[in-house]
Amino acid sequence: MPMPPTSPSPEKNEISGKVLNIVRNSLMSETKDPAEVQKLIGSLGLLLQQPGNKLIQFGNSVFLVMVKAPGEVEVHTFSAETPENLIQNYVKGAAYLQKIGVKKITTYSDNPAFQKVAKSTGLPVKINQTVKQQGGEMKPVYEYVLEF
Amino acid sequence: MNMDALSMVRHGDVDSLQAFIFENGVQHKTFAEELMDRGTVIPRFPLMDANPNDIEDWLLAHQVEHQAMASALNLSNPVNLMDTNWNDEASFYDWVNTHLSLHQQILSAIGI
Repeated sequence: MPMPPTSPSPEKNEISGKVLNIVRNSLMSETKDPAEVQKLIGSLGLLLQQPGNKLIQFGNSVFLVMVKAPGEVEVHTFSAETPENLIQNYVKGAAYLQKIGVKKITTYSDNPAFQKVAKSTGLPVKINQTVKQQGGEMKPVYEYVLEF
Repeated sequence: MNMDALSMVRHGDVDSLQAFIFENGVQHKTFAEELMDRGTVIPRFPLMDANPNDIEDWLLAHQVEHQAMASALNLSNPVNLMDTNWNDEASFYDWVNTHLSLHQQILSAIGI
């Protein structure tokens, strides 16, 4: 009997091919600095060697998922998508993480425009203001928390 | 180590390029494992997975690994291996020679 088609797992343990391309384009649009992109890709390559850190890909969005506690993850987004597709990819990513047992997702952004993206997902995301260390400095950021 | 595959790659020849990419990937894996045995973790990328028609992302991942290895082994910072045009024959062969010497330096520093 022919097997039904299955979709490939979105989980990746390494930055290869298409994933690297998305990450690279995303970092370039954020930093505009090839040297900084190189440094950040190196940091990401190191992070992925730690157990509990994975990339998941939906469309042209890649999410770095870092396990912080059982059932709790922190997510960082790399995307080369239109806002509409990015919203859809967030919804798919959240559904996938819920399916594999994640109870709490936290992400951070210093871009106030991201609040609109979060609200557009229709997911019950709580938004807080906090500070986070970025490049050796404590900076004000928005914290987005989604609990299932 | 098959240094011939790193040095005898021919411009525009897909077979020798594939042999190069494979051997280069094997050597990078060996270097990374050797460093890991000494307690140093470096970023790892699937360098054997390269699309010869779209080499830019591979060059980036490859450069990141070389920089990390140079730093771990206290070698001078490697030249920017991304700054190349593989469509130009002379530039390609310059790159191959520079890259070969980097691998020889690493082999010598690691002692294998």
